[in-house]
Amino acid sequence: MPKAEISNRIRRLRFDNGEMTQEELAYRVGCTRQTIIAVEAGKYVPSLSLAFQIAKAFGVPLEAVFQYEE
Amino acid sequence: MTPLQKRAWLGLGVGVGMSLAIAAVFIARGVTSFDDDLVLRAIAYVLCVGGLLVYAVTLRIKRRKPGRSEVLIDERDKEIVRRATMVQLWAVLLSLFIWAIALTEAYWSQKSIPIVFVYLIAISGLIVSILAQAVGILIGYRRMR
Repeated sequence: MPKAEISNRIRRLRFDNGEMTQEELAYRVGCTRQTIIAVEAGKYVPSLSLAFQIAKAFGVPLEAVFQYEE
Repeated sequence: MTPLQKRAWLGLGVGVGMSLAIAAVFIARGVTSFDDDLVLRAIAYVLCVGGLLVYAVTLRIKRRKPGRSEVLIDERDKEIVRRATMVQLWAVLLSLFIWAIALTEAYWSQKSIPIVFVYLIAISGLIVSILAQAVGILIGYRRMR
């Protein structure tokens, strides 16, 4: 089975949303800043619930934030 | 540093401290004197129960800052703890098997083991448990950073 990678555009979306800080995003979605850093760097894959909350914070669909690549 | 990382460092300190304390006590008073030495037995009880209590206190973690809505513990922290608990479980199991094999081989001819080892197994189990969880948490944060 090929290894799947989940990439994200959080950094870009933060920039496009008035240069939102990682701390502000963390506050909006109810997690820690360290988790946002880890997700953004691709070191941690968030739960479906957190992924939806992140997309909601940017006002975009989930697939605009996270991409599944085989 | 997250509250869990602080707890892990504290756990590492408690574990190393307990290891040094127990080693110092048994080196100073001698392992074989345990059966007749009431002071040594009292110290072993205190280290065993005291260590467990100190560790229990460190398990209390605030999830949010008092009076603020800022989150201190989230799903990533819980995932790290879950993985660290597996490390802890395997480390304790491994230590128990090492004790069992080592004592069986060492006391095979006598068909019995000195009672002091019951305490040493309990204390070492506690120390291994504390250290393994702390190391598991610290490695978890290092990987998911």
